Amino acid sequence: MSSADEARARADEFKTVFAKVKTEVAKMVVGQEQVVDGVLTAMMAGGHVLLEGVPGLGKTLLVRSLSQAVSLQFSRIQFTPDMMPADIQGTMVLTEAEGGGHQLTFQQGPLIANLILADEINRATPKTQSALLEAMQEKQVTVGRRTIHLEEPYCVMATQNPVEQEGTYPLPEAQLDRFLFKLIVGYPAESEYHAILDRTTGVGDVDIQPVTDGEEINNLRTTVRSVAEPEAARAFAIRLVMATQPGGDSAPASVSECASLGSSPRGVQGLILAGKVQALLDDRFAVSADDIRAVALPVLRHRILLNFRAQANNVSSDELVEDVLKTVTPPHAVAA
Amino acid sequence: MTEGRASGTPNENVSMRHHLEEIVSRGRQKLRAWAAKEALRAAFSRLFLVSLGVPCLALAGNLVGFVAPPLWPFGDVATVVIALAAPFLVVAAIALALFLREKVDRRVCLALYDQVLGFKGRLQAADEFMARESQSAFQQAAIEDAVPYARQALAAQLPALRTSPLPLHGGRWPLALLSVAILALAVLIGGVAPEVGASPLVVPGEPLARLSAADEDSVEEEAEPPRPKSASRRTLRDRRPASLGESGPKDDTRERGSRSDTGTGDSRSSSASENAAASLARQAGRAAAGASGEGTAQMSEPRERSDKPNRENESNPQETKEQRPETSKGVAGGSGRSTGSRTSTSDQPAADDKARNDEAEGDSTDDAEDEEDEEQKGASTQRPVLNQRKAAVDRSLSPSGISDQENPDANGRGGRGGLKKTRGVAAMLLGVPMPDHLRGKSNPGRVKVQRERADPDPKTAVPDDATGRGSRSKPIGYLPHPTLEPWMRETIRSYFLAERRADDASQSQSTPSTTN
Repeated sequence: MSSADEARARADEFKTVFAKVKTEVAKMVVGQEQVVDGVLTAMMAGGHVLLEGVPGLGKTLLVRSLSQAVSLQFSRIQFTPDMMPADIQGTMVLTEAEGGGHQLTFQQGPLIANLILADEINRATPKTQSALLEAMQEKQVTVGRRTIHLEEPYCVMATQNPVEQEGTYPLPEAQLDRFLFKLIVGYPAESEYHAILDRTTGVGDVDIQPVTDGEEINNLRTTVRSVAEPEAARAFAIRLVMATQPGGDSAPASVSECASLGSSPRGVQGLILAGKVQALLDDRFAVSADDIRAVALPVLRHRILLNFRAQANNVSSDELVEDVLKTVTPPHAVAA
Repeated sequence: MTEGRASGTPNENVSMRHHLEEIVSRGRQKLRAWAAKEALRAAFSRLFLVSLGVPCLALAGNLVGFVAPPLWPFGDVATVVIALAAPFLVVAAIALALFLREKVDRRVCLALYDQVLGFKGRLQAADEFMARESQSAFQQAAIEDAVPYARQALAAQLPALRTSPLPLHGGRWPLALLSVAILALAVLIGGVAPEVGASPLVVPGEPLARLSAADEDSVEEEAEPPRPKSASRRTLRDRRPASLGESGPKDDTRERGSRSDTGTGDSRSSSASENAAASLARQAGRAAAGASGEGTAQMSEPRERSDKPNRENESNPQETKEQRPETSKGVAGGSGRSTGSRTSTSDQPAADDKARNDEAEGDSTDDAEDEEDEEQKGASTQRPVLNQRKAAVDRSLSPSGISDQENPDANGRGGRGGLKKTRGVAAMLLGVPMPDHLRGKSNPGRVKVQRERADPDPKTAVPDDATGRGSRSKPIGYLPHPTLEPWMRETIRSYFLAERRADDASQSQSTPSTTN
């Protein structure tokens, strides 16, 4: 078996597992295909996802269904304003010893799992939100002198509500930058409402079977990272990220006017990794500029910080990313 | 996974390389053809601007011809031909330069096929990976994956690349009209300027004696009717006696009566060179007699002009004889001689001397004076000589002659009276007396503050007993949240938007005024 055949087999395996998980999730979640694809892409690429949508659109259901389909250790954290970092990281508690005495033992928090659902993450204070920083980037949790390395695959899927902003704490930029994707969950179509009613108002119960496990997902992540990246695709991703930085040479005028902060180098990493997943799903073995373009919006939209001018003029970060995509052309592209 | 192995079999690699080379070759041809069109379009966008070059040069060269030998050596037809042909030559040169500057990269050729045929970068990636010494499994897979696409690219016929339309929109046509207008102006001036510029009479320092017969012939040829300039000159000359006759026939008779009672008419047949020499000698005599400097300077200009009519009189005596009676009627008014006599009261003795010298010169110079007067009068009809009728400004350096008497020679400068008609720094001072203080109310005088020592006087206050606030009998009610209500946010937002609109409007209004 040649190495090319081996790569082909791994790519096929990736597509198969991806399709299986998607099918299982689709048993519970009606529609929202792009959101499901985005969540799975982020999980396969080794990133975290921020889901944003109004209540009742199935954000929590999607993550819970995914956890059942991939057979990972799942943990849900309902963020509240009075939640403390120790509540999610874990703390030392006084317990009774078997011999009748007392002892201090470390009680793990819900952060220590494989798949974390951080529900309504913007309802917790920035202090508690910051407890996620180390876990999301370093894949470890430090409490006191104890450092707990989190087991791979580790994926945080957070949800937040764009309305009802009273009593909420917007995520800090450092926190937002750690999410690979920010996916916008929209309302379902009319035909999807029928399916939702069929599945939720009847007596039947939907059963989601686990189709993969953590080890396989780790292998698939390795496959994703093995996808070849030509120089043209890499240069295009770099140009895109640089174009989101206000004041840069390649930034369009709208970005320079309406953005106060652009994407960090994490944006390039996210573009390439997510682009590789797109290439595998498209039966290709090298990422292309089209793959980068396809994932640019969810990767870059939350990395652009809007200034007051943009807020006053109702300019969204999505519009800025669209402008960037119109402005930046792939290397060697012919304007014909 | 196997890393670092060569991709595929050697035959497959050779075949793929051959395919890619063929694709690159075809793409390069396509792109060079497209680049040629784009270069032509880019160069053509400068056509109207370039078309301004020759007309501007011709206009500038012909304008120079008024004061110096003309710099534009071409005739009217040649100018038009050059103006039409040169822009296209320049555009062709620019297009060639742009085309030669364009380099078609290998990756661009492959990207063209990827882009047009929707291969999603497969050809580019395969070409890049094949250039590496060792490939990973996925790179080898990418190369093998690109083989059918390379064959498809070779079989495909690329559609014609879209080129931009020629920039012939309305915004550029004013440039073409401008160039046509400048060209027409240059041709018109070219018909006039070379004659004036080529005349040896306007060349400074050219002595009269060096005027050869050939030069005179050439001048005569230039004055033939078909040339518009000659026609205009002749028209001007023909108009001259009428205007002169209106301006001062009485002055003419008075001047002639007082100046030359001896009266001759025979000396009019003397040669032109004698006239010119006599004129020069007479003017030299005037200068020696102490005429004002201003008058002398004005005299020197008609001396140059007097040469040309003399030559014309020589070459065309019939015409001269026909014109002479009319010109002799209207010569005298406003001549340089009369001006010299009116320059100032201090110049009066010098003017008398000059008149005596004129009488002593006799009849031989009388005709020359007539000719000169005619030319001077002609010049006076062409341009006003107001400064001849004004006395020189009193520019004595000392401001000591301060008096409120009006200076009749003030000439509007220096203000009324004799104040500060000086040069230098003193001239910059205000000539009109102004009060050096303003009348006002005198101040109230010194303010006196007196302090007196006094002891504090304590006063007793009535004590007030504290009372309880009592218990609350009903709920406090709604306490507003510290954060802003949505309608408050909207109000603030609309306020700042209105502010911004006002700023933008003020900026847009202020922009033209700043540019002006």
